[in-house]
Amino acid sequence: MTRQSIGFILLWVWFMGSQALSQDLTVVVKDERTLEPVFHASVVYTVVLDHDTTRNFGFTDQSGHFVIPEVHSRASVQLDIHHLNYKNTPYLITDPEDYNFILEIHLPARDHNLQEVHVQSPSLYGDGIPDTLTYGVDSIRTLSTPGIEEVLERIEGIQIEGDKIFFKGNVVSKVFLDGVDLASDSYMTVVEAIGSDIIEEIDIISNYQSNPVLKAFNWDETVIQFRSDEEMRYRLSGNVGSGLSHEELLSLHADLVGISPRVKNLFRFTHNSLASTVYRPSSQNKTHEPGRLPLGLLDQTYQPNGLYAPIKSSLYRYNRDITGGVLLTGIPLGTRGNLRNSNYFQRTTLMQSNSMKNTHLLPDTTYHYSHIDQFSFDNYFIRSELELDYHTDQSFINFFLTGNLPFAQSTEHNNFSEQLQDTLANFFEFNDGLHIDEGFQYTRDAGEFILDFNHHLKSSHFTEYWRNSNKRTDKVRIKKANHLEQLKKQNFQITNALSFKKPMKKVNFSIGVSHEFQREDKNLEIHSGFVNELPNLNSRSKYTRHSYSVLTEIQNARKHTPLLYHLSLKMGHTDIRWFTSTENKERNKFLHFELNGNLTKRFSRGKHAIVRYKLERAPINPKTIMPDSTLSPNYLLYLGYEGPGIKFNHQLSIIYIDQRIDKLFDYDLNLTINHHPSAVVMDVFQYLQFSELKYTHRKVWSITGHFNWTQHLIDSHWQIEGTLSSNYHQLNKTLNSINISTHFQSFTTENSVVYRKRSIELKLTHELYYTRIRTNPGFNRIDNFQWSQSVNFKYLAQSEKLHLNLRAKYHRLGGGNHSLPTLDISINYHPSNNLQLRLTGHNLLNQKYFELIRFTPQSTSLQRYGIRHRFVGLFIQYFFS
Amino acid sequence: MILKKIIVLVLTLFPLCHTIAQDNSYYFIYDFVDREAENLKMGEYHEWSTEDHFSMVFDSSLADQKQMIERDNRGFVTDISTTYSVKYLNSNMPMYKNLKHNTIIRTVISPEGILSQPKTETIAEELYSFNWELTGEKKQIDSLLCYKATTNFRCQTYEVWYAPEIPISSGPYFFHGLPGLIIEAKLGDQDRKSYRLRKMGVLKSPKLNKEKLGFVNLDTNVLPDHCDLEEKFSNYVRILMAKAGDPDCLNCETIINSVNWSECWDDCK
Repeated sequence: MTRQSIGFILLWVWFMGSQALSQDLTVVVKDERTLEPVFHASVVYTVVLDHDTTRNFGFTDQSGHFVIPEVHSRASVQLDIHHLNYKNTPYLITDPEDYNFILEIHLPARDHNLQEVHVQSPSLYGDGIPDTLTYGVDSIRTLSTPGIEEVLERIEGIQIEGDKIFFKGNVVSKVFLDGVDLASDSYMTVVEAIGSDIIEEIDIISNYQSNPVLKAFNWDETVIQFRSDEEMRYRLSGNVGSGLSHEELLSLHADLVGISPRVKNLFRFTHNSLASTVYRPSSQNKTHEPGRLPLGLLDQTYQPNGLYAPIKSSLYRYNRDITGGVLLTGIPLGTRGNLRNSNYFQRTTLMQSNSMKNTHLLPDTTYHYSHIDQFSFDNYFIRSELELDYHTDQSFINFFLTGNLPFAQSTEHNNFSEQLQDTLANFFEFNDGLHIDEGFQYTRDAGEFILDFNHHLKSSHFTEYWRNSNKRTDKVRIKKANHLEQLKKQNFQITNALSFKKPMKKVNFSIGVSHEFQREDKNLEIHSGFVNELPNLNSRSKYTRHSYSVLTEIQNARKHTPLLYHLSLKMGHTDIRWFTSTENKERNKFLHFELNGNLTKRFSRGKHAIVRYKLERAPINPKTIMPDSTLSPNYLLYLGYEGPGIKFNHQLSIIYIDQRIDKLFDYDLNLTINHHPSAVVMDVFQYLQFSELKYTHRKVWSITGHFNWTQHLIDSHWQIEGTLSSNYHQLNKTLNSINISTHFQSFTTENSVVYRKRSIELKLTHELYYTRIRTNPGFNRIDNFQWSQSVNFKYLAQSEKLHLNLRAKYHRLGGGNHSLPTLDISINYHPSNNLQLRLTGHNLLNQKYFELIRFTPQSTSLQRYGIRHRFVGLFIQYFFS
Repeated sequence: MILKKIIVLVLTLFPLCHTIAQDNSYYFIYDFVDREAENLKMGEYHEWSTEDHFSMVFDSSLADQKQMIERDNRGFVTDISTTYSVKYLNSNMPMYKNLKHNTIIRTVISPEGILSQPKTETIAEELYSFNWELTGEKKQIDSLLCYKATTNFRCQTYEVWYAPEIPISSGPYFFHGLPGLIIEAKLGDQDRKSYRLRKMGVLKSPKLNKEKLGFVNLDTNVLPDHCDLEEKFSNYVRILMAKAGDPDCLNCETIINSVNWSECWDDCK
């Protein structure tokens, strides 16, 4: 045998030996209990041989087999087997030969489901920190969203209705622009004017609380903040519009927003003869009227005297020209402070006459100017307000300096809700028209410093005397307020108020009483209250703040009207309110009872569960309540639950009507179900009423149906809406109301593929109404006269960049200050990125006059109304950015 | 006496354990952002059970009332509030993955449907066999420890992160075949398309019904392959090309460029 042969044989032996040492390893995976093969178990294996590591994975076939190729007999194999129905099972095989390269593994069953997983941050759409959602505008903006309003509407959960923004059903209370709250409640003026390319990010902040001390608690407030690019230069965006019609009716307006990193501006201007006012920053000091009982609960029931004194009054208003503008400027100072000021000017020509008692006719032209400066830092602010008013009859100047500075010496009594505790003020008014108010206020316990100077120059026919005084020791404060006003020669009004407050370590004890007397009508009102508050702000875990209060109120509006009693009790999160009145006629005796509150349970990580409850028994007074679909229920039982991941509401209303009324039938059913976040919404509302009341000559037929079903996201895309209403009202020949409307919308995916929604809309409405205001204790109601006709037609063209919207609408609303009757024929056209052209035909309807009708609780009166003929003009709006 | 109690207890718990082991069903929802298409954002909803490997893809944003798609009578998206183009219609379609049959069934827009009324066709294809490369890289996404894997799909390289602690071998889009649920998937360096798991939980009752969605029994019905439609798509593109430049067909060229109907990815050109 040659060497070559021996070598060959040795090579062959080595080769065969090495082949024998490496072999496929078969893993058979079976159910531990049934010994059935397990299909599609993932097998992740790591083979280690002489420091070489091989890692791979695969799945078992239907017979439960999985083959690991070429495993050396000396290799160690680590197996990690996963299956949804079985427990994760790791195995380590150090000597595969012992198993003859076949390994049978029995998996024990998984005894519980996998944990639910929420991947919260960072989201693809926006980064989220607790309570704050941040959206990058770039990821939402498209060619068709020139304004930030359109961008907002694309964010899930955002809904814009009228002048309010809702986020997941909660109203957004403020809109900040880089930390500056420019327009307060009227934030839609800012939102409508900002171009989307100016804003970089949008924050939606739930559970908002500006006070740093209270941020550990849950609050319902939701705010939105727009954040602009910090390196951006000054940018201007907004919209301008103009309209013209015959009879010299015209409208010009501009809403402009200017943004730079340092300065934010909002400028609004209007010049019109449509009685359309410009947004006016409200003075925050004017609510502190002398003579009011300084108890929070009593303030809620305080009724302006005018509601009770005149039985009937009428206000006639004619065409008025308004020219005005407001410039709001905000300068952010870091992340914690800002400087803000506003300049507001308005010139109003108002033609009106008033038959209301004790009120003189208002002059023709009024000029108003106000200037407000405010510096805010964290929770503290200092603000000065200057108001100048001039018109032909009277003029006055107001100046307020208010602050809330960090001078707190006691940290135990951080009652931030209390604004005005101590007031020292004197008010003098002379017959020659000079009126001087001066006041000084300082509150130490609440950590506030308030300096209040009033210089009130007034020229009027009235004589007023206001006096507020207080006595204070270290622990007790007594406040007195007197108000004497000569309304006419033989008619005067006296209001006296007295309150006693004793802040203690954990208890604020307050008691107050006030009465009001008016000579001519011999009004008498007595308010008395007892408030015992237990602020428990230091105990964050319980989240409790107890307060107990008893409030009684007796009102004798006129001699022959009944006494009204009002009792309010607040305990913890529960409010109980009770109203009643006495009168000889049993028919008008009514009782209003209300119980509502909530139970709150806090969980970890800011989650909480709330159970809300409400029980209400409202009066049905056939003489004063207008029968319609929003009739107050006699009994209302409301239960709601909000917890982690779920929200549930159920409402059941029962209407009970006095059976002695002739021919009255009523049927009511409300059912509301909300389920979040999977968004199941169901809303069924039905209403049926038939009435024929002889002594009021009233006839009512009313059918209202409403059905709404929405099923969101993870479900099968369903949305159904339905409305059916038919009303006929006739009340003593002064009310005629005919309303027939049907609306139905369905949205289905049609085999989950084709999404259809017709883009042509046609809508017709015709209503005739009239206005009245009811001021019964316990509920207030305002009904407007309105006559509206609307025709909507909408057509969407095929090109993506063309959006055409035709709309015709006629609406008339009387009785309010903001009623703007219009015939609104609009064509919207979006030709390019930022240009939005809106051509609108407005009915520049001049309000000839309308009536403001006041009611006493038990009486009604016949009213008159009239309107002028209508005019049509054209209105062009150009949005630019 | 004690033995009897134990026997009763065992007999009671035994079928319960069995039930729990067999009825594990889950749903998961993905967010999707396409930065190439004006940051189109959508959602995908999947259901998964060991009984019937079920994976359906939906655009959840379509269920949002604010973002309804409006189309003209040819099926083109016309509502300017959305930016969907025909290219992305496929991702709105339901999809059914069946691992046992190694089949994927899905609904696609029919070429005839584009020219007239919206019309769809259900097709069946072999489940895509992904060649995953495990890199060993890992990162934490919230509470989940995720491992990186890469693959090529339709001539593009995808990077995904999967979590072995969720032993569901599926993921967004067409993806599947990893030893854990895919938590994140990205296309390209700039994350041109991104998927991210938003939520996953126990499915109490199935929301999707495959028969209602048109996914019939696999054993009794033979469905066309997507490539069978290629000729029809070619005709459709030809018609569009003929119309290009016509004033009535302003978007034809855009559509031609955006539509890529050939999904028979034999080679990467």
